[in-house]
Amino acid sequence: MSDKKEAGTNGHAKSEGAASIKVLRDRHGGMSAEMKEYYKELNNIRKLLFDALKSGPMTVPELARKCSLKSETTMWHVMAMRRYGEVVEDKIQGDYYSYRLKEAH
Amino acid sequence: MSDLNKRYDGMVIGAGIAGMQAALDLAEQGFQVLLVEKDPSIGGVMVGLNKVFPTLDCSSCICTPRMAEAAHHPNITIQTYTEVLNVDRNGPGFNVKLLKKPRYVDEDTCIGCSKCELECPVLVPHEFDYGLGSRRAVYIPHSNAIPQVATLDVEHCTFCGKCAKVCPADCFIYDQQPEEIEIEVGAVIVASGLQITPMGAKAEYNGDKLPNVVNPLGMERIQSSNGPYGTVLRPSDGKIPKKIAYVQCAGSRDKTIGVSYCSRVCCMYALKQALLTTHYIHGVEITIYHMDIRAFGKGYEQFYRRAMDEGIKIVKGKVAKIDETDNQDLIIRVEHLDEGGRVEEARYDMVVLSQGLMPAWKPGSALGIDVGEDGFFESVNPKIKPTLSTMEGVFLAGVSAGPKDIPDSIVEAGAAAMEAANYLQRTTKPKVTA
Repeated sequence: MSDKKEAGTNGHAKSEGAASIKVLRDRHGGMSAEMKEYYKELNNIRKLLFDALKSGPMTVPELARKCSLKSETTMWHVMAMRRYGEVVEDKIQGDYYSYRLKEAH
Repeated sequence: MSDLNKRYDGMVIGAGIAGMQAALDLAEQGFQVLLVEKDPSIGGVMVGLNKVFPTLDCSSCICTPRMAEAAHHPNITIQTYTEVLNVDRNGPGFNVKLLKKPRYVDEDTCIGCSKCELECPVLVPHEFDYGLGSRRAVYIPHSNAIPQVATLDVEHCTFCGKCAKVCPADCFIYDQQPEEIEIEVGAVIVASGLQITPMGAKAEYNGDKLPNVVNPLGMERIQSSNGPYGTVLRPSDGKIPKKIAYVQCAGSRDKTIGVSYCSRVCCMYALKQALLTTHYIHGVEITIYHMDIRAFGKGYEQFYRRAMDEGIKIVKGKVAKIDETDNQDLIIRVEHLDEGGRVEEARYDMVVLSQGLMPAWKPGSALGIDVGEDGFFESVNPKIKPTLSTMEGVFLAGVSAGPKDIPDSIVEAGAAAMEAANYLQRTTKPKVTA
């Protein structure tokens, strides 16, 4: 039986003075124009949704209407906010859950 | 420099349920096994499924112990996030070239705390949830991932550097590079798994355009308690669906999309998902449109009967078209085959296209074994020795050799491991220890 190996560090020992993020940025030529646009839109949508939810719990269709966003875009972002603990389910309204901002503890 | 050995008795390509089983069975016989996986975690498709048919056992509850067993076995070395570039014959064995992709994280020191993931400002569609859920640009694939370490997706990175700043284990390696690794192996087991037929394969179903037309693996994630929504909702607006349709043979048994074979699992996963949905949503109405139901395995026919007894509508009908209404409900145009071809339009909240299975990996000359007309790897002797590929020393397991369900994949993995063991005994006569 051989020694058990947990392979996969690429042999990169954690070097002294580990490379800064600048090395990675330079190697990949920074953010692509497409990624810059994506990131800008992502932040705009998240700001709209956070601001809208400050007025109280809402369903996805209500949020989409209030923020003038496509419904499926709103759904994806609300579920992302849910996954990362920024919103939680509130009450069920008909066939829809409403969502509210999670209170800071 | 890689820290892999120069030589392994066996290499298993793909760490889904078939690959893990093959690796374990070979390792248990005393052989040193390298288990290579292209994704950041082992576990394959099965670890993302909700429940398995016909027993309705929790899929990850069955799969994760296998993952842990493979990860902790003294004779198995796991190499994740690694592609197989080339397999060349060298005597009875093979020279193998691998490509280890950079995670930009030291796998040995990452403690899987997720602090980097929580700090990362980017959200992108998560592959594990088939795009329905999200992940960050730096992420741990899921809570059951092995290894439980972060991976930085550099294509979506803003290069803000926050991940390294919050890392308590100082494990980010921003200058990590892809690395080619050359090893020798005595035998190869191919367990490279499946992908489902593309959602846009049949243009008339609009599966790649309409958000409420979902693929069956996406539905597995929607039904999973750790899935993208935490409960069953439709993707367009979070409505709790009250009417759901399944369209069978949406990606199989259809020459027009180049998939003329039956994928063998679609009838059963549709019945399973339908039955489970009735447990999750009170009063939900589910219709399965099919050409014929194929419930051929142990306990499968009984499961089919149970689904009908519990109210699932099984309708022999050919779906011609799926369109969307203004509120993103779906209109299915269906020809009832048992009613003289009567055409009906029916409205649903969601539709699941029962997509078929296709091989996930097409290595071409990089592996050098023959592929059949259906795209799956060819067995040299499908009746007597189905796990033997067309090259001596290369063996087949799971869906890489043809569509099959989980029990059949596991059985075949064991058979492939036994054939590989026999081959290794014959060609290298290693000292086998208990």
